[in-house]
Amino acid sequence: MGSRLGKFARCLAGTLALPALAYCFFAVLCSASGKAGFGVGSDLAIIWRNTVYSGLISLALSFNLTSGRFDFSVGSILILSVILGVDAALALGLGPVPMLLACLATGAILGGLSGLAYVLLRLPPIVVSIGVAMIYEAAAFLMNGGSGVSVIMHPDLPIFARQPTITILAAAIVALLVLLLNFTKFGYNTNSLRGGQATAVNIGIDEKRNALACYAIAGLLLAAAGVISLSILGTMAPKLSLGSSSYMMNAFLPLFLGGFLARYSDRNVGIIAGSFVQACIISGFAILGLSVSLQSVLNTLIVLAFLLFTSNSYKLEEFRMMKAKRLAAIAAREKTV
Amino acid sequence: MKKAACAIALIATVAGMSAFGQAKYAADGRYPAKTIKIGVETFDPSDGGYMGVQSYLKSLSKGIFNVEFIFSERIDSAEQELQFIENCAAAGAKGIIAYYNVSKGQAVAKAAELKMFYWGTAEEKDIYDQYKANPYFLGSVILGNGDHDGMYGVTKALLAEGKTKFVYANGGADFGITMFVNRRLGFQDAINEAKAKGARITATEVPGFPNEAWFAAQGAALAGDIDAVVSSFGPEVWIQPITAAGKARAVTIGSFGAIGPSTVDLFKGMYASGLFSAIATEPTERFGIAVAMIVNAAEGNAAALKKNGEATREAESLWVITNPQDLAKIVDFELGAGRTAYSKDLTKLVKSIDPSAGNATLLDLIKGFSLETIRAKK
Repeated sequence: MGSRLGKFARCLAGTLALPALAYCFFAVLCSASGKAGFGVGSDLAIIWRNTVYSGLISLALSFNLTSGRFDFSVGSILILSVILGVDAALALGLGPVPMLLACLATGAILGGLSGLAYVLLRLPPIVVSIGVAMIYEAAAFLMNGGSGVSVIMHPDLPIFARQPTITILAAAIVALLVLLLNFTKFGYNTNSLRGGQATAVNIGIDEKRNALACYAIAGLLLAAAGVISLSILGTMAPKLSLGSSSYMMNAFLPLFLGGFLARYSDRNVGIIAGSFVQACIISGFAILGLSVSLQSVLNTLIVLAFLLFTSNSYKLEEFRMMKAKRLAAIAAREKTV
Repeated sequence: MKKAACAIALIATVAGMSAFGQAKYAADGRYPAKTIKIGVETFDPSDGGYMGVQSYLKSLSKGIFNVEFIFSERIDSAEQELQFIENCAAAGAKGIIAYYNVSKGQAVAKAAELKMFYWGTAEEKDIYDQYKANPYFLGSVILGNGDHDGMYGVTKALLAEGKTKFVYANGGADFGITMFVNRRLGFQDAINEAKAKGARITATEVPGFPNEAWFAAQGAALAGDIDAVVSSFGPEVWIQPITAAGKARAVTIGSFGAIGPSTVDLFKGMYASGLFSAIATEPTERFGIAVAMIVNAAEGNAAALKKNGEATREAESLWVITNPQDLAKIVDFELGAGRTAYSKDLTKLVKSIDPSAGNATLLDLIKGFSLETIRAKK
């Protein structure tokens, strides 16, 4: 029992160390620069909001990217699912929860169709997803004369960026994903395919069916992110010429951090923790008053530095193992002498 | 014999009138009889302002001019721009309307090389000076230093209301995008003028466009003590956050924006709620003038509208709307009967229809869509 508790404590500390470090680093930096307000009050609410928003997009990306399927259509699904879902909600006079459900259902269908295109066309996923993205972008642009949707005149609808709704939504989604990936046949299959596609297929896992489900779940997560964006801004505008791909630019750092933190907990929890780190960085930069161009450079450097660390971290492990071996050998020699 | 002579005389008269440029209309009443193709270049087909222009051009092609537009996709680079111009020439276009220009004078040179008339960019002094005598460069109706003046006007309107604690959404100014740099200068000039007169004013900038970093900067700005938001790219993305921050009664917005069917109710609602102060918007009518000028030029009469043989470079101001009454007038003009009447008048620029068409006609039409003229209409 004691060792179980110890292991849990180590995992919890491992998962939370990086977010805590990022939070403390920027709190100290902002304070030292004479800029108050980081990580407290409304800023903490914004950090959490960004955490959930980027986290959902990262989670969506993780469902396919970790199986070698780069999905370029994430932004276009996010936009189109919200436009279609909100249009339906406004036309039928629905409330906020049915509006959310309409968007989630639309997102899942659009994601599923994207997966179907991948399965049927048998082309590289990046090629298929670029095609799907352009079709979805054009479809979103054709709706409502290209003006997207607005709920500014319906203040009862955009409630999903406020507390406690956003936390309830995030907790429900993450709990569902943890259950789905760790305690169901679908989850075992997905994890097997992530570990090695050829082996998994050889032992009888249906990769196509699994891919379809992954795309549909990703679509659902993107729709949830879209509803949060709609709740923040009150509008959702279409984008053309792959302009929708900008939505996934902030999803990579949480994804990489999530992969790293997965060794301490679950990948989904890791991604949310990674998203919190990114949200702290973004908020810290905003409070420090950095220009957008400088923020872009620094964000890219952080992603690069982290990739450099993760892709070389095995060397550190190797060094530790060699050192332990050497020490053991020395100890053995001394014993025999 | 007499009858035959009369018939010959009649035929000769009709043929003679045709030879001397009698206007020929299409069967549906549009002008001219033969369709003229025109390329329209943009940086983003989903840009609100451009969509307004596109809608106006389409309405002109349905009811007034027998023209067909070739609208560009998103153009990001000089290569794409020059390729688009070449594609338009290959498709038989007679003119190019530049809603956007990235390759500067090269675009004009390419259009001229392909014997197409180029309308736009006359506000760029280098381009204008180099090509003003080129018969294929028509120039354009310019908005002066529209980006600067528009943002300056909006900020002045907010200052006149006694606002002193500003948030400024600078859009692409940090990336060096000229229009946003000029808009920021307009905002700063208005603020500096007020400060020089002794006013105590604070201004916080929110950089970039909506994404996570922008949400954070916007949230930080809204958490501060503010009473006005000036946005360089539309008010829509501020309304919900201001309301959610509980500051709808304390904060007033001024912004660049486009007036169209999808935004008019929003603007009216914002004025009614007191959340809105001023909007700088670009008149789309100058692009109607572009169509008429290209039709006229395609018939060989480009010189008729020029002053001293040089390409057009006449100025009109942006509309800076500061009250609901002006908004109602502009909406009526843009979306109602005003535009129909104005569009019909555009045919006065075509010399084959109106032989008296000249530079004075052009100036009259430009004045016709000034805010003062529209305001004076009953």
